Amino acid sequence: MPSANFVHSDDAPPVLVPPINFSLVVPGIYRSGHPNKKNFSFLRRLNLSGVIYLENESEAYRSDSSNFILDNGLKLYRYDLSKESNLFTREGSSKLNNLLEIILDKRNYPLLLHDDTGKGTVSLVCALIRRMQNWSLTGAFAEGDLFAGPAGGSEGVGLGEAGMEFIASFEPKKVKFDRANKPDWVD
Amino acid sequence: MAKIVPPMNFGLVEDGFYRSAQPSELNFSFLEKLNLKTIIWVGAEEPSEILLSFLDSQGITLHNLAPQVSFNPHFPPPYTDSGVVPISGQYHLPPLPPPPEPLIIQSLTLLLRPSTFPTLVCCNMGRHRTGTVVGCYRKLQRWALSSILEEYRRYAGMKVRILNEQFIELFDTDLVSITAEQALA
Repeated sequence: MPSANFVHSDDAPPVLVPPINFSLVVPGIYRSGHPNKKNFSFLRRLNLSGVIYLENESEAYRSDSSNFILDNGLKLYRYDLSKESNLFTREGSSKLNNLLEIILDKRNYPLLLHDDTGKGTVSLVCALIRRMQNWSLTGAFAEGDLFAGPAGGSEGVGLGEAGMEFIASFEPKKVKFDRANKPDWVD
Repeated sequence: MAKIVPPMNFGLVEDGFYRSAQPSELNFSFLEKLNLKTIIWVGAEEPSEILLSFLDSQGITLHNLAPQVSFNPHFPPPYTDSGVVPISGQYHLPPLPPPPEPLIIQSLTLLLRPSTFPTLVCCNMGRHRTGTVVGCYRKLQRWALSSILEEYRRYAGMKVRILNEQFIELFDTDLVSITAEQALA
């Protein structure tokens, strides 16, 4: 009678699977690649209030993830910043400013910031956060490299030249936001 | 305003729980911003004098878990040439053993006490020993092994130590106990 060997035990707790390249950026902001349904039980524990997706503007949000968003009453923000050279255009910079306004308002926390791989666009936005925290440029780049893996990512999806240049020339002082609701990590 | 420089391999594990390589003088103003209460040193060698004096001046408690005698049987290598340590990779050294189990258990015991936080776990490079501590901590949090190793490898870079990964996989979380007062505090 083999069936006795397959009794489910309540003692074995389920494992938690964070989304790929998951990490805490600052208290209240997490970063990762695209979540899927294996990650939902983990994500529920974060008590998120919003999710920011940084890629594929023209496509609908993945249906499993979008159900997760609906079921948990989260807010989904979409800002496609995946084309780094667009950051230098007027349209790109206004998109970025809108994104930064959300990130710099602690009433929106906790937030999950994600792109598809957790290596490229999300590293760019996190590097801008580090610049606003006054980190050295090498420190901000080194953090991006940790996530992209050796040689800028085996799939070549780490920060690109244009993105690095944008981070280097980014002026945190010029970012306008509501100081009344500013998070603790920014001066 | 002067820029602040994070230590090498710096990362946030949790709110109030950081990891990194051994901080140098350059990193002190960065560390001041973290408002650390303790530092858990898990390196194989003793931390530097300058770090010790910084911790002293800031009133940060050091939990020095470095063994007085190195547990590393390959250090110093037996074939040093008049005291000169060969550059790593120059000889085919056998793989380094994982960090000693008591070290991991001691650090996890500290990491289960709310009074430890905010804290920084660090070793010389912030890759292997620190990575093993964080890996076992994730195991306590019931992370899937693949996710634990993804994080371990992120910091270990090209120098993944398979014996450390094996240690994390086989680590028995029942060796670490949490008391009711700790959980409530």
